[in-house]
Amino acid sequence: MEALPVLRAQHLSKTIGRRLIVDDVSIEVRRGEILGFLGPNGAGKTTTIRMLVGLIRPSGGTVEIAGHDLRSDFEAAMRKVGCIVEGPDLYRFMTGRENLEHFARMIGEVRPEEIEAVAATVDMAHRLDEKVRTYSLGMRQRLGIAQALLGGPDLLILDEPANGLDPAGIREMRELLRGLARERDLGILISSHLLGEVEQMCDRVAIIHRGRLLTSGPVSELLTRTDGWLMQVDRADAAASIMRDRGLEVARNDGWLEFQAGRELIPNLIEALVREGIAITSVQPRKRTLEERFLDETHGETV
Amino acid sequence: MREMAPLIENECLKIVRRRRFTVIVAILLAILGVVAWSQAQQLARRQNRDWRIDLEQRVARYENRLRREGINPSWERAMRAELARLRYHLDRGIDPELPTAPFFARGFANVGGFLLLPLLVAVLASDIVSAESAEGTERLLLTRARRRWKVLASKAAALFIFTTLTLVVGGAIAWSASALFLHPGGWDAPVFTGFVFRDGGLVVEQARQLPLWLDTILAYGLEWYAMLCVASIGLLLSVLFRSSAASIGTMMAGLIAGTILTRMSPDWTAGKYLFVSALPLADYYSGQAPPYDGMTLGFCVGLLGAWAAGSLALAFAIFTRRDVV
Repeated sequence: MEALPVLRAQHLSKTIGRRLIVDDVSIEVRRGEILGFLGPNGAGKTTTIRMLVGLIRPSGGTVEIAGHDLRSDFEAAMRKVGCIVEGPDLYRFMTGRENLEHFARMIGEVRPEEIEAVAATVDMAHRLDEKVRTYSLGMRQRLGIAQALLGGPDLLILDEPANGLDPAGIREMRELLRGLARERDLGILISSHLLGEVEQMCDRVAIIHRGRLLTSGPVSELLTRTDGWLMQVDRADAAASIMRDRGLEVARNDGWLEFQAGRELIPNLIEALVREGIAITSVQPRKRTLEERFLDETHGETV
Repeated sequence: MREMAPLIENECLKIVRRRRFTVIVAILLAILGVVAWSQAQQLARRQNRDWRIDLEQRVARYENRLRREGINPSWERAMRAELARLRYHLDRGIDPELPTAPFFARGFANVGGFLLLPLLVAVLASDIVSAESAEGTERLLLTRARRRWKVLASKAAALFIFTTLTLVVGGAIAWSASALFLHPGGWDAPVFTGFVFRDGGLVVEQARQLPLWLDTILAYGLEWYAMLCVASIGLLLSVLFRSSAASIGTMMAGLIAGTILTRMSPDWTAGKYLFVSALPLADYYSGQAPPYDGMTLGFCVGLLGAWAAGSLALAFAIFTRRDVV
């Protein structure tokens, strides 16, 4: 039996004034998985995330966290969530420990050992008694995650956790989150526009554009769902004209011919080229990066 | 209550850590120190004068007049009141023309209630919510398993606690700063209070004699009530404005503009419904005429209560419903 998703948002929408910012977005996150929530700036990502954690009241739709409705059962639902929305803005005039104690008091029943434990998880135990003002952005990100882990949530919602981090910091963050999802069986939702990062970190992605969910699915599936091919030949011009004769669109790229075609057409095409005396050195399906996939999905809709 | 106490602790901690209260205590120390010092200068100039003989003569004069018959009864009351005050000073050996430290502390409720205390409370209140939105911490504060009304209630409670402390500490500083230079005792000196202005004249029938300590408690109590109302209005402004500067600026503009309006345009009678005109409760209690007719102490208390209740209701309605963007 499949477990209940830890986050289930159904048909969320938000209208501000007359503008529809988010339009019928449904998202699910299961325990132990990381969902990448992608979209260009202004796509409705942050608005959606704010609706998931109760900062913005949805115009329509429901949010359920660990089975509790966010609207009618806010406290029970929020007890299961740790989140960072738009940057880890902690109290800069207090120390890291005081910040954690502050948020622990809002949860109730948090033991002092737990504060030490979450700080150790994000490798911040040694700087805990310094003022947050003196922390680097990376340290504040990590303290933000420590804060989100207080109270043992089932779900983490992190808005742009890699923002402002250097490559080493991003790698560190990725390993930390992967470990959390695996070891503590947490569901994690990460929004990002750094697609390369999400590709390496997430199990599934959901792409939002202009307030609508364009596509969602496992990363592996999204990457291979492709009809693109790459071919290397000795006489590229001749090969390209033969392909165009067959109604294919061909692009030349660094000595490679790039074209779209169904898999069943490929043997036939190879035969035709060979008949013309063109030597084929390589034919391969083009694996797209998530970034290309993302641009495909949002193509033509960007201004 | 079990879950509210830690929330209130958080809010108090933040007020302390932002050093808002430190600033307030520093301002009180500076202002009251200077005033007490100037009183001391006055004292030094009068040191050589033999006030005792002078006082004995004044007491004798009043006693003679009161022995005559057919004096206006309200005059008689006033004279008896003054006589009691002078006798008290004569018995205790305190110069009646110089304030004692308790008298100075009592006077602070009146003088401070006019602008200083409301401004200090505005300093406390103005950024209690707006600082969280300005610094971005509101998003963490409101994504915890506590409903928004509880968060705002804890902020209101912390604000009321520190408003109370401001008044108590203000009074304590007023007494201790002046005790360095003035006579520190005299809490049981007789005070006459309850003068009422009616039909353009001073009515003394309801005047009562109280010991200074009781009078002080009453004056501070009224001032405390008035300051809680200022705090409630400040809380609303802090909810409305995202920047602390905007919210404290609005509060100061309101206090100052309101004061100017009520003092400069007595014909504009709608001014009596401004909270600013009811604010100097301690002044009205000790007999100063309010700027508009019909402003009894009861009216002022009711008016301030209505302003406070309205502000709190609006603050909670907005805070619990609004989208945090």
